[in-house]
Amino acid sequence: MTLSKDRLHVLIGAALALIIVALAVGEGIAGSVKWVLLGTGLLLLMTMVGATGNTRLELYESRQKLRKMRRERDELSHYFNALMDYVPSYIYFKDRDSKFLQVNRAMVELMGAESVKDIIGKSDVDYFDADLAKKKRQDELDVIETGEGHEKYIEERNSPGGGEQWVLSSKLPFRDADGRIIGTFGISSDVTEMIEAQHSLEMERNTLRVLLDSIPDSIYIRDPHGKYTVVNRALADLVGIKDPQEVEGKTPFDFFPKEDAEAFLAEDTKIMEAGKTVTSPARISRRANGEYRHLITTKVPVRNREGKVSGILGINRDVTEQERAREAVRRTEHRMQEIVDNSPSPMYAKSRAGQYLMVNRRYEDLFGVKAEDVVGKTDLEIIKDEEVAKGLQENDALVFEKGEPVQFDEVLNLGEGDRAYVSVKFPMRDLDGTIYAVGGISTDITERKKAEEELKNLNKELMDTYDNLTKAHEQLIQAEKMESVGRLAAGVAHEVKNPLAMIGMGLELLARRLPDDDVKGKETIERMKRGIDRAKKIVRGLVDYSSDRRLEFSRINPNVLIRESLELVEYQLKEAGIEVMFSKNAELPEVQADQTKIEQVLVNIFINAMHSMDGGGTLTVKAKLMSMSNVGHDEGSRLRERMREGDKMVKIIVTDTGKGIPEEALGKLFDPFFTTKPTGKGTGLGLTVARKIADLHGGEMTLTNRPDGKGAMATLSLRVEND
Amino acid sequence: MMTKPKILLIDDEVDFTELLAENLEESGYEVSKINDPTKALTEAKRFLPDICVIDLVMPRMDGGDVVSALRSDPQLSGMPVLMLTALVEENPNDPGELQMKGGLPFVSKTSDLEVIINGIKTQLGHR
Repeated sequence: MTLSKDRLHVLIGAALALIIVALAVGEGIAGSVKWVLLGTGLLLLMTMVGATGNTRLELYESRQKLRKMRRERDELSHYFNALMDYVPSYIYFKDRDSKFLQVNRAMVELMGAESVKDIIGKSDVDYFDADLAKKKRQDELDVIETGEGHEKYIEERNSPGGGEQWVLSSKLPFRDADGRIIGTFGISSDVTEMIEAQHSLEMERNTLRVLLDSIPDSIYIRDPHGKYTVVNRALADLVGIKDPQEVEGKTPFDFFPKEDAEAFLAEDTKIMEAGKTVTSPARISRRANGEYRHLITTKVPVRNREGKVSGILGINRDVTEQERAREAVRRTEHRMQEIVDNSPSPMYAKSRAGQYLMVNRRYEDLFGVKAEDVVGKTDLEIIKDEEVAKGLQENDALVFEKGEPVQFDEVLNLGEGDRAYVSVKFPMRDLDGTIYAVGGISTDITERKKAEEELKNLNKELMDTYDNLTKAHEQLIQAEKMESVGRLAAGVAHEVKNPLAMIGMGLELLARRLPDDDVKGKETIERMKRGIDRAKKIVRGLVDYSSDRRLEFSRINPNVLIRESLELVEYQLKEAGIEVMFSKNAELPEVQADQTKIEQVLVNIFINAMHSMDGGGTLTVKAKLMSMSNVGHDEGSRLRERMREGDKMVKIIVTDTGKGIPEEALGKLFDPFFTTKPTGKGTGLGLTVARKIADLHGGEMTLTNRPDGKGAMATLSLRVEND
Repeated sequence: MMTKPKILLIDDEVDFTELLAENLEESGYEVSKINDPTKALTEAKRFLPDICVIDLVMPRMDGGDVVSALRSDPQLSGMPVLMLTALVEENPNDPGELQMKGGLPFVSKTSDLEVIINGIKTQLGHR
């Protein structure tokens, strides 16, 4: 090495510096000069040393660089080797002829070689089947030719150990420092697990998708900005879009009216902030086509891996159909309720336990209660009257037991007097037919009853009026008949009375001619006179009948009336072979009667009886005391009508053993001039007059056949005067 | 001895007239009988009775007409009459009672002889 000019200068400078320092350090120079010198010398020396150092430094640095580079190369080589040895991927370098230049250890293992050295210089043909080797060769030729590699492609291949294997490969051109392609290199990694995981993930995703799309509920995930990130088919349907994917990325604003969308997102925000799942009860959401749907919405905050809320998972259950069905049921129920509430009858239903299930409005109004206060309670709790409640319970129990409607008459007093109800209680069955309740409908029949009563009274009045009218009519007819009878009688009377007068005169003469001792003769005359008297009375009665003469009442014992009447016909009866049965009733009170007229009636009865007993028989006469209480229904309504409470009557009953009254004659017996007797035996006036006389006495006369059918029975009832 | 009171009976019933006349005669009266009322006035003028007993209902001329005829005769106008007819009924409570009708006393024809005689006596008393 030769000293350069610089170095020489340095050396000279350094020597000079040393001299100066030496001078300074020497004794000859004192004071400040000494220090100046020393300083200058040292400065110069240091400068010189520095100059020398620079040159040496450069040299040193070069050496150091070289060393560093070597170290770095070694390091890189080490790294490379480490990489090559331990990277789980397969790495190779090939020359342009596809012969291996370098491979890593994994590759060695893959190819089943002993070491790297074994492989270098060989090609794929030596390790793989011909087709694969050929394909690889072709690929590499492509890369070499085009200068473009195949990067990161995944291919499936048969693993040497058998089974499928997925590899992620890159095949690239291998260039030298000048960029010339000197071969190819490749790296491939076994990604079977990853791919399989991906596949199963995909499968899962697909399954999930299918599942998601098959669910009738509309499901979505919205991010915090309101964008749909996941949407199932049902949601797409809901918003009127065919493909769910088209919905993704959009917001509710794209499908729903602005105010709805705003409400949805506001709710999203709320839920995301709260971080809690919210299920909203049925609510109405409008579809894009304006149709309303009933939805039950569940919103779940979705969290990312860090646990932060990253969106909303929404599940909408469309319950429109159910809601419509419910609505229909509600409407029907409402309709039924309206009918039930507007019924004028109180209605109710009670459970088996006796608790009210429902009551209608009328029930509320009637009892002054509210349904909500009644429902769930029992009668006892409401009425608080154990007796009444028990009665109601028994009625209910009867309905449960019988299983069919039962009708009850009930009377309720609600402060405004008794009201009459007819209650129908009926079993209420569930769909299985099991009786679960008893229902009741009570109908207020007070007015109806009142109306019925009024109608009844009115009817009775009408009947009475009719009866009176009939009676009046009958009386009118009777009066007309009687008038003609009277006129006739008056005419007849004159003609009858003349011979009677004549006989009377004759008897007077005969009586005077009889010797005083002719008792029998005198008696006969007297009897004849009585006969004339009777004939006169009858004629007079007939005339009186039409001229409405007052009766000559006197108090008289009915026994006397009967006996004297019997005496009048005694002879005739005896002649006719009729036995008379009469025993007086000592208990009979006196009656108010016109003796002559009543005797006339009785004689008429006796004569009629006699005429009916051709060839004899028995005439029975009885008399008994009647009061209202022992007038039986069979006594005839007329007697009942004539008698008032407290009234008493004597009833004279005359029965015979004759042929009875022909059925067809029964209704006409009292008609004037009606007679069943042969000509000359009756006038047809006897019963007519007899009944008139009975009527004038306020009594009654009847004539019927005996109940035993063995003859006729006549009765004459006479009023007993109250004291 | 008192002269017998004279009674003129005017009645179309022959049998009755005979019987009544006989009874009245036996009771002390002088009796004349007329069965044809149209001859009553003539007989009355001839007989000049104290009283006329006249039937009411008669053919051709009734009792009323007879009374009118008698009253229209000055000689007979004050003569008492007793009407005897089947057209009136006895009063059961007072069979002897004279019933005044149209200003005339009536007795029922069917009355007992005693009643008729009483009626005659009463009317004669009025003379």
